[in-house]
Amino acid sequence: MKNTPFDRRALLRGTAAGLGSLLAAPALARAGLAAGPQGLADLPHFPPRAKRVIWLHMAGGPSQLDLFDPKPKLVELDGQPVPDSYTKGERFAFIKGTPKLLGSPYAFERHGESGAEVSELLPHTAKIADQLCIVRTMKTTQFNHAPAQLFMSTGFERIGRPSLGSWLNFGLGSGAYDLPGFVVLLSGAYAPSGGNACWSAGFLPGVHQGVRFRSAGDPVLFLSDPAGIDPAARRRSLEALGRLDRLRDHGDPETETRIAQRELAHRMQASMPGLLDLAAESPETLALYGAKPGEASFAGNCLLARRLVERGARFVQLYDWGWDSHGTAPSDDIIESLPARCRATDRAAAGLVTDLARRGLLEDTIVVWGGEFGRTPMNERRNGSTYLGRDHHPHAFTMWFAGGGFRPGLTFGETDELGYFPVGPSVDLHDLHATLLHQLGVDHERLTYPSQGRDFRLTDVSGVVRRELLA
Amino acid sequence: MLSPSLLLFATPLLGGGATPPEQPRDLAAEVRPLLAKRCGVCHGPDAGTREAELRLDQAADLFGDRGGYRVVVPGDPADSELWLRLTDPEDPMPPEGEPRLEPHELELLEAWIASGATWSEHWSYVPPTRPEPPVVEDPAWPRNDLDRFVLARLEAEGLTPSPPADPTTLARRAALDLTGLPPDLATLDAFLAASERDPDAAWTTLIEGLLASPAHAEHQAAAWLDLARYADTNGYEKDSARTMWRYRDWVIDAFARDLAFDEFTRLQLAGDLLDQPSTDDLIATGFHRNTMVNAEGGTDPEEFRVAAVMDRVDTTAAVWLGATMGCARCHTHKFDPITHDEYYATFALFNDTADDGNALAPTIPAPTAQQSLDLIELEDLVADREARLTRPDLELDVAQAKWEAELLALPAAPAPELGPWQATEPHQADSFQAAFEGATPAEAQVLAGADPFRGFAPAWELIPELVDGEVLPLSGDRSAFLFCREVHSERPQDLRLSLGSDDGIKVWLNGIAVHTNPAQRAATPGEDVVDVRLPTGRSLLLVKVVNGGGPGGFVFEAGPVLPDGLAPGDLALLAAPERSDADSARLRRLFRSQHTEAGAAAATELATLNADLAALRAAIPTAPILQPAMEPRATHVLAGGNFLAPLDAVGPGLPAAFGPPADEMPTDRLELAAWLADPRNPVTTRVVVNRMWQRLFGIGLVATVDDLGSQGEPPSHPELLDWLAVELVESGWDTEQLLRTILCSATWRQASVLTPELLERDPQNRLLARGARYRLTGEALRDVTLAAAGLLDRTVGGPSVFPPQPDGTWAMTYSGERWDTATDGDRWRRGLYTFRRRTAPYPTLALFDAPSRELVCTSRARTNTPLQALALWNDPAFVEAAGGLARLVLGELPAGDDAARIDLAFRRCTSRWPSAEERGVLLDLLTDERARFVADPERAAALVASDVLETSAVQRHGEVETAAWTLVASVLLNLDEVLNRE
Repeated sequence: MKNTPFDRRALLRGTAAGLGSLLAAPALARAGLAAGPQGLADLPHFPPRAKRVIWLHMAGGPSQLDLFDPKPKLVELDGQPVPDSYTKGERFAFIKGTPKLLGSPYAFERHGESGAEVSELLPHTAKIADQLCIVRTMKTTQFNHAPAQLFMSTGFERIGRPSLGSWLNFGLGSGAYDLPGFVVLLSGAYAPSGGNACWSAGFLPGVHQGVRFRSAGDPVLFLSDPAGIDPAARRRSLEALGRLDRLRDHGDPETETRIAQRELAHRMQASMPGLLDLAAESPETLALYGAKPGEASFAGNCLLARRLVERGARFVQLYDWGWDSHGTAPSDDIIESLPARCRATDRAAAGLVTDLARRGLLEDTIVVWGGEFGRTPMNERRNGSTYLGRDHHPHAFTMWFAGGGFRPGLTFGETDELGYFPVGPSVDLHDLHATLLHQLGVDHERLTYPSQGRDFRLTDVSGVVRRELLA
Repeated sequence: MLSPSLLLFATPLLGGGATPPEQPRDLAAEVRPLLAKRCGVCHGPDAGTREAELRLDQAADLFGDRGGYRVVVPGDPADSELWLRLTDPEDPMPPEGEPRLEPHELELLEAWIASGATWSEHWSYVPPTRPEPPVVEDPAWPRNDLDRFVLARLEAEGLTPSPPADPTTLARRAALDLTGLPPDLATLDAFLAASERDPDAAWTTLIEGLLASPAHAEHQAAAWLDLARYADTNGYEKDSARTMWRYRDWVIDAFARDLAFDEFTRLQLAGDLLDQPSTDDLIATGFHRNTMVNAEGGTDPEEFRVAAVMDRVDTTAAVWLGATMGCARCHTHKFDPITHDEYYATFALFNDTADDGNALAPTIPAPTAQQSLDLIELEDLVADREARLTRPDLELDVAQAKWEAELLALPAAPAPELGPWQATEPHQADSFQAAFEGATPAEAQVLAGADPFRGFAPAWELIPELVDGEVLPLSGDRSAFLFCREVHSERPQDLRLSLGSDDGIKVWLNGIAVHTNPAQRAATPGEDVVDVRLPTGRSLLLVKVVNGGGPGGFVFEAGPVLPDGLAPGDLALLAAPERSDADSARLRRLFRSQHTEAGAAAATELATLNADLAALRAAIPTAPILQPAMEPRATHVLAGGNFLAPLDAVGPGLPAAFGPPADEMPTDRLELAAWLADPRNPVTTRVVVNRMWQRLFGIGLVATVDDLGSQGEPPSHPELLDWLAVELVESGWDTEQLLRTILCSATWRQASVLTPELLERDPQNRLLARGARYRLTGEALRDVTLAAAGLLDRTVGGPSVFPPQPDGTWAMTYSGERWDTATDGDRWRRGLYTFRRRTAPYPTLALFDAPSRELVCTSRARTNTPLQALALWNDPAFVEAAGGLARLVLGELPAGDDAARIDLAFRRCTSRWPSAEERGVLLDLLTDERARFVADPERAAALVASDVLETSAVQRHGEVETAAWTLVASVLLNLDEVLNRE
């Protein structure tokens, strides 16, 4: 195909005046009434199983060995030096010398009809075991937080690539008419180490980047009008502004786009308070999540995620900080800190799945739970610390998936006796991305975007749809 | 199928507006990228994946005899192997599994062969020559040669240019293009009046005034900083602050001096390699020190050093060569002639510097011009007072001889016994501050009473290398070094410690702190003198030296406490048969400062002057620089771009396609810079003028400004591009001259009104049948708004500033650094001075598509989103601007004439007068809002109290009036016309 200005490459570069028209067309067509920006015309590539994703990212890397992957042998060998054969040539973030094995102090039981093994730290998750597809052999290539989080969210370990949520909004459209289609919610003391780059649009048009709802102040930047400008006054100034812009009509379609975007902004001002008002939920629902209106928390974020997808949001990304259980102090060990993180999140994560299921939303919503990597079978003992903790571990860790056509009740993958390496098949992150895109009706090899002289895709040059994980 | 001749001259389908190819159609230009894209992987530049030893990107393979057949026989498709293989019914190329060629692609190839298969190198690899400006049908329209290229094309397309924009619009456009600010009304009115008399002279005056303004240099710099990926933080996880603004100010200054672009290039790429580079030359090399630095635990500095060098290669390629070289990090470029080896040859040019991947060093002190003057003045004063204390003076020297004799007669004191030194492993912290203030484990233990001579962990070890009076070199950034020794005294007595340290030092005697000095300095003996009182028996002396960065050191001497400030060792000096000049000076200083009145005065002054000098030196900012490494590094090709997987060694060079002949390949950065400015270099001039065109017209003559290679778009006006390129070189790389040429052209001066026909025919304005209209950058939006409101602070340069941003923007990262919101004029500085944190960009700039500056950005997106609307309403800068504009018009014009005030506010925002209808809309809004505020005065009070502006205007005009005008001002500042360059 020739490079006419209306070919995709030219339009998508975003330098062209045409970009505004691309974004504006739906807004114009619907005169600000129905739906938000649409995706590409040729998507979905095939009928999707799922329409949206809620991703619960436990930032820091939760300890799979204390939560989902029981290792009796490791308990038996607790305190013994790790055999050389495991650690030869390994690079660790913090461990030095020959570390000693650390058995999990927590009890595991089989749950539900599927008999999935879940630790006592996650009693609520255990109750929904039959709805989960648990993968114990996830693997990554990165062992530091920022690159590992970037790899998980953008498919590449360094900044600059679009995140999964951005790809989905770009390809499938936002799905929401008075809200951003890609929302990021944070809980815990800090943001993830990868920072904004985890929800960056990379080289895609900036409009597709994740919008972080802030837990203090305006949930969306600059949402609140100054004191003294009430909604009616804003409305009147918008009317005057629109009239003046049209009087000056320069023939540029961007002007109409701007008027439409102002209207959308005004609708967001109106819709956002209702969206965020968790008090509108029944006491029973609040209890299901363990959420309290007016209190920022992971539980509140889970409930907000449900309210967002109900209103059409395509991708809701939660980050919960505090899973980096090194064991340098009680605040990051597996005896005090890890159970505390579990208590703060377990009920809400299970509540979210249950709530989506009873509302009929789980069928076409994928819930993802997991961190950027796992943790070592060895005690880290940094600087001789006496607190128990584990270093970063990229070779095998656990994630779970619920809804959206993932096979419920499946526990996939097996690790060796120490939980160090996979035995048999494992799932890398490109496979994970390919599989998620597949469920959303997207062929991961066909959703591409030109940048720096070539077409890029989320899965780079690999990725296999892992049908064995699917129902 | 169309006949070849028909195809050859067919006007391509415009598909709603187009980049129509030249007339007649240049088939070779279309065939080259087609072959590259469809066949290039197996039959392209990459020898690793090449099949059948056939390259379809080279004339030799395409047309040469290949043993009985030829790939292409010009004029004869049926005899051309290419055509036969593509159309083979049994086994057509491309092979099974690869996508088939589309019918129109086959048609193109057939037509090309049939019409003679002309072949030319890719256009951007052939050096530009000055094209003859074409003959046009309407000789009256062109104002200069540039216009003839544009008009000839329009005439060929059957289009006519738009009429010129009105003078007000032109003045605003010129001001926005050249300074990023609207014209102030006085300049505008003067220009409009002068235009009545002599439009050309008025125009020249206006343009020259704008070009000479500091705002012009700032605006040019703002654009360059995207290419330089300038930021105020290090990037990656920690993303801590760095002092980088001296580079930013160097760029502003370079534009203010109208530095020729070839020199501008040379200084930034290789200022450190000049003979005796000046401080400014070194600051310029900050261009490539804008790479990120990763200080995260567990990272390998080499990994991030390599990443930084790759970034330098990719950035240089994007900025000067219009090439996307990144692909060739891992493998030979599939479409462009850049091999894997050539990538690393280019890498070798940049692999020569001393910086590593996890620290900002090397840096230099980079005083501002004012600081340099102050420094010279203070140093002169110090030298003068120093001379008064130390120059030979017969009378004083005689008196001194007597004093010396008396001192030598003093009885010698019994000396305490000093034991050997012990030390522990250095202890590294996150900062000098942390290392200095925080206790190391050993320090804490000793201060808690543990005895380092009685064995405990961490281990203390004897260090015989530390000899009294000699500097012991220390190495380790942000590291604390602990030393201790025993002292035995037979009776209580004073001991004078004479210390030197690089950098800070703390001393404890028997667990009690006796000296603390967080100095940043080199270690020389006697920098600090401390007297301590020794008890009878054993004492324990503990010393902590903290090195901030670079080399460190420690030197110690001890001796009896002597009169007149004499140091241990001075007595020996007195007795020595000969004295060095330095020793003479030292003794004269001691004597005169304590035994003569004039000397005492000079010494007092000197102390003050030295303190001032130290304060000034401490205030001098630093600048990271490129600096050749001590040891040359070998460069290897890296498999898959992985720094742990080196392959063969390569020497420095450039890809052959855009480098000089093989025997002239650059071997260092200086030669690289020379080649970039060499007239034989085909790409650089085109890249530079194309980027300038993009900034003025919203889109480049080549739309893909970072890619003039085979996968980039062909130029819309190839001859114009070449003409501009040649003009640039022949002007001595004077980019300002080029701006003049463009701004004086009829092309640039056209009105930007879009007719439905033009929108349909040419939505991107590639044919230039109208002026350009596009949204301003985030920085310019801020600046224009603050300028309209009369709030803009025009201070040029200095450290980056912290205007208001929403709380929590920075709570994102681990860093303890704080955003201290400016409460002075810095609140309203131009956008380019806003502090740039890479991982938490200033929200409103990011919302308007400013890049995060992690990587080079050659062209910004221009999105149009609802979040932007919210920012324009409610970002404090814009709220304050509305309040400021309201106060300004209320103060400047008397009450009672709303229309006059509307007109003033309107002109401040748009530069033009409102139409009667526009004025009517605004008056209606004002009247209505005023009435509503009268009815609800609390709301008015709330609105005027919602900004930080001074309140005297409110008292003078009343809350209701101020509130009503604030609302009107907010509407004006949000006009689409204000947000766009028209």
